[in-house]
Amino acid sequence: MNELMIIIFAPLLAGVLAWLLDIKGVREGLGVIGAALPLAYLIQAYQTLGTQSSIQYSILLAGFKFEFLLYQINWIFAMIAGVVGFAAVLGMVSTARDSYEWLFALMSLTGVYGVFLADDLASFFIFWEIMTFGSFMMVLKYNRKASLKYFLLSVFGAYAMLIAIGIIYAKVGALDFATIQQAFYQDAMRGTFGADTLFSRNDMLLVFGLFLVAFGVKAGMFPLHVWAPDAYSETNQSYTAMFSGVLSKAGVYGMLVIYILLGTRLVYQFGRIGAAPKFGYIIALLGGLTIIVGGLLAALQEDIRKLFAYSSISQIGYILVGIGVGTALSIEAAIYHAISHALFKGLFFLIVATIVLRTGKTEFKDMGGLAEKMPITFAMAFVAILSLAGIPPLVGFASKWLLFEAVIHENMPILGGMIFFGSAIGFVYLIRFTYAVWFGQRPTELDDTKDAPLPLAIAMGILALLNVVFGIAPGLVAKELNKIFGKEVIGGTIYELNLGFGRYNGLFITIWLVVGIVIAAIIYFLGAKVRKVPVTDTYQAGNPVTMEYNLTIRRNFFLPLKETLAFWLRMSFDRLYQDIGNWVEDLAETLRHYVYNGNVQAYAWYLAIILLILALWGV
Amino acid sequence: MVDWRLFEPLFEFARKRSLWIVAFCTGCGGIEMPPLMTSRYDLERFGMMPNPAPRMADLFLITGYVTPKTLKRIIITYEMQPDPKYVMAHGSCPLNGGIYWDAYNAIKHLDKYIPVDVYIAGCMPRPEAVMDGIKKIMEMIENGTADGWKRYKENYEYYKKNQDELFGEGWREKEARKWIPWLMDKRREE
Repeated sequence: MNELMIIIFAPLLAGVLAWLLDIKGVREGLGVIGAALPLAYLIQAYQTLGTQSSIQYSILLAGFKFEFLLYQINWIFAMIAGVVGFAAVLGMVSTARDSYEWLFALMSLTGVYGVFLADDLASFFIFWEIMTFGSFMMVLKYNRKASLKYFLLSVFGAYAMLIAIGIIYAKVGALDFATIQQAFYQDAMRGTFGADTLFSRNDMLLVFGLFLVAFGVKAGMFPLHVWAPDAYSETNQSYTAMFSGVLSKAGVYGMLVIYILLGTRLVYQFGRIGAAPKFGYIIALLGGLTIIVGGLLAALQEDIRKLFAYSSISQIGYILVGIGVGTALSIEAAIYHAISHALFKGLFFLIVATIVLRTGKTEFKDMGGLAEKMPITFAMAFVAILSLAGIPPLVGFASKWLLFEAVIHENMPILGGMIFFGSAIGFVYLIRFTYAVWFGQRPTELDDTKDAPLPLAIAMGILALLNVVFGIAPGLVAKELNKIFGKEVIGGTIYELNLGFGRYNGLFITIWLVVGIVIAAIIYFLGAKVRKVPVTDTYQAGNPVTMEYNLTIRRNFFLPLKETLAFWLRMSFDRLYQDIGNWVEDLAETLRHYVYNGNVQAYAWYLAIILLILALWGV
Repeated sequence: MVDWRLFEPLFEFARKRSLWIVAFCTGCGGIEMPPLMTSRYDLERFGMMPNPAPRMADLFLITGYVTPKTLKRIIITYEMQPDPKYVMAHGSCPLNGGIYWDAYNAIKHLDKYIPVDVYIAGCMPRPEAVMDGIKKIMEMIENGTADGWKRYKENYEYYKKNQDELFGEGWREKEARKWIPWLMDKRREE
């Protein structure tokens, strides 16, 4: 048994066992082992990757040769899945209600590992479907409508991918990545020398478009993002840590697969804009729109889960921009942001899981002042907030800084504007979360809220620690990313990132930040006489207030923003898809009504018409 | 806590040169405030600034007659200011009721409810008179006689008794809850 098989199938096996045994305590243990085992093997594989460049394994089954390959780039993605998946599973120990959830959560983890480790399109597609199915079943348990929306869009994506695979197989005659990559490369060469190419311009456009739809759906790219807010919110929130943190990375990984397989051929066919390939620029532009749309909608949400769902969409936009720009630096920056997004968004959803578990409420109008009651969770939320907003000593800053530098370096003002706007709007919705959940006046029914349970606290601790460590020592990640291209794209030491035209030293900034905080603390504690006052002792224009007054803005926090955007908010892709769905239903109803009309003579006429057609055809 | 008594003269010097005013305009004196701040008399040269937040201010100007309804707000605002804080009363009304000496609805002696450091007589006092009062309070801050905030702490029972006599016990909660039935009606209407 190869270790790759253990990595891929351990979660599924654990999930099935947990589902079959269904003993409280045992299923949790099995789940944790199922998630920890791949992580352990991946860490072990790091040693092997240092000495040999890849680990591979293949099985012959049902006429297909399924190939799996572990090398630098997908080891990084698999590690994201390993760490965040493990944390999410730890969170599920507290929040999962039955063995059903264990089965499908672990099944989707298997799917993700399979997608990341696949080295041929057949296994890539099969594990893609396993991943989709597992996550669909997780959503189905909580909300049927949301799950069907997710499933329909995913199925469209998956079958778009299947058609693309079919076209590639028809022309190339192979499914493994190496042969396909070689074939496309040779095709580009043929084109360069003026010979006839295997794929025409339209073929390439079609294949690229189909792959873009397929991976765009999973990543939550702008016009295809509508499933995400519903699916991310209507499920076990610990699972969403994995759903948003890892499953959406499958879409991102897919975009990289486009580069790996079709890259040279697409660049040859469509050329470049500046340093970016034109096809990449499309991805980047859609990514930029994703940032803006996701960010603005996140700010207007009234539900904590929905806010982070849109925030997740918005952050994926950054990764797509980085991948789209397509230079070595921007791709490394994008993968770095994929790592940091997985770390802080996983953390965020675990925090949401804790809040939902402990208060049973999800809407901002029911919350406030929880920082006193849940100090550990608040500390974790603080790390996550700083990380997402991009405050220096945390990982979010390092990755966003790299992205900004990569985009600015290529002179792309539109994309630059989009990602800078996204960064600002990131602050906006995080302030909403910070203010409405943690600070302000606490509703009296939340007075006996307890802090996070131990497994959730450990899971949050792991992710928060990594957020801090990778932020202070960004070189740890950069060193691994450099191995993808086999050269030093991001230079520097483990504490410093050096791009040649810009430097960022995480340790230095941390030290100065600590020094600054110490100085501020000295000034504060020497001078101040601190007096604790109740929350109602606040200046309401001199009026006395009691706890019966709601002093915290809990609804319509960004009403002016909403009014400003009123024109744009009238356009909704959600409604567009809804309308298309309704038309299709109406069409089906109409067909049923007119074709299957229950009239025997009508059916006889159909027969006669078909015979007539056959006669005219000359059969 | 560090003992800062040695540095007290320095602090007093700093305090008197950056008096921030709570912009709480009561009565007719409210209209006499803007000329003080604007270009003709210009208080800013003394480092004074009108400020809407009591937590950031140290000078409380009572600019005219005080009704019991306003006095509740004045007391709440005064208690919200951090120490040290100074109160300056304009005009005759806070002094002894002024022309409202026989009104049922005006406070005759403001000093019974909150400690006043400097009174400025007149109805209304000219801006020059107010500036004279400001000069006076600066001197008092420097020599440490502007100690209303200390008196308020030491004699809190006295002030509390007077306040409660006027408004009745538990007036803060009663005042706050006064609006709740009305708000509930409003909500039902929506």
